[in-house]
Amino acid sequence: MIDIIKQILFIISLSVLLGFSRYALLDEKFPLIKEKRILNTITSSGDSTKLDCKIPETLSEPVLINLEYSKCLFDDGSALFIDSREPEEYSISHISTAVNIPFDYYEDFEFQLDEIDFEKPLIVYCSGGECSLSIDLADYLFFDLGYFNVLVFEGGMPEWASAGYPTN
Amino acid sequence: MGISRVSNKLKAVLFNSKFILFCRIIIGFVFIYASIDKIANPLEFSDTIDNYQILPVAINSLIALILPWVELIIGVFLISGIYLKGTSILSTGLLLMFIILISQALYRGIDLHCGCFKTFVDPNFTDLRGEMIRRIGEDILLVIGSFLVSLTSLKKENIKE
Repeated sequence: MIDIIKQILFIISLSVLLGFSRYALLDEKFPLIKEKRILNTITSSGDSTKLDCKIPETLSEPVLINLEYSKCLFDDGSALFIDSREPEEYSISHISTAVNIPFDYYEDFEFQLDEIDFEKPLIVYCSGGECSLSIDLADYLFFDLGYFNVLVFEGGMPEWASAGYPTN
Repeated sequence: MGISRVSNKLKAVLFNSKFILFCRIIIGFVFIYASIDKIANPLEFSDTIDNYQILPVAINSLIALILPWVELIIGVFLISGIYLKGTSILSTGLLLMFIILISQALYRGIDLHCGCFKTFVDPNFTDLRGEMIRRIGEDILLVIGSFLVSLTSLKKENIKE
């Protein structure tokens, strides 16, 4: 039994050593401890009939919005909804008018933004809960592509669908 | 009488040294093949682990750095017969973990590229659930093989003792 534990520990220790050696040789290093992005939240009054979903003038990073705020911008028609989930999930159901830019391969889908003005509010969402695809895509749209008004609808598809709001 | 004869025959086939060697080589090559792309692209593999939405995001990069090397060493050791007891128990445990990870994602309705062999994903490939079910099936076969290798190596140890 002790033999087996020793063998397993040897394999794991060797893997740790090789893993860190590989990391040392990487051209582009990434953080070893990933930090979960925590974004600020802006909210509406909670009454989607009052169109008070104004976006702050200058955003320094993407911000989170709640269900009411998302619905308010949806009714307003001024924002573009972006579904960051896999095409298969998008094809099953998505927020009406939303386009699909899966974070895992955005290069193949971002052509859909070619005609989109940099000032236009973009609302990115995914599966809610622990899903981080929307924040990852929002960061890419804001910091790499340079869109000024990038919002993340944190509740995502599950919250939108349970509220009975329009889906396709 | 009939049942015991069939079971004895089955045992003879399953624990046949050539069959066990065959299992070791197949599982070994699968582990080596699965590790190469992940070792080459640890960041992409870390994103794949994020998609499973089961582990704390903080540790996913560390797992993405270390796990592929565990797979590579398991593959090499299984084929060459080094530390067979520890290696086969570790490979059985890892395969069981993969089955649980993919199954829980499937159950929770999370469609994902499992990242089992390639970190690159083909955007035109959309039958994600089908792929996940296939991978679970493959892993079940591999885990059976790996379990037989563990049993055999432990049995040999007992005989020696």
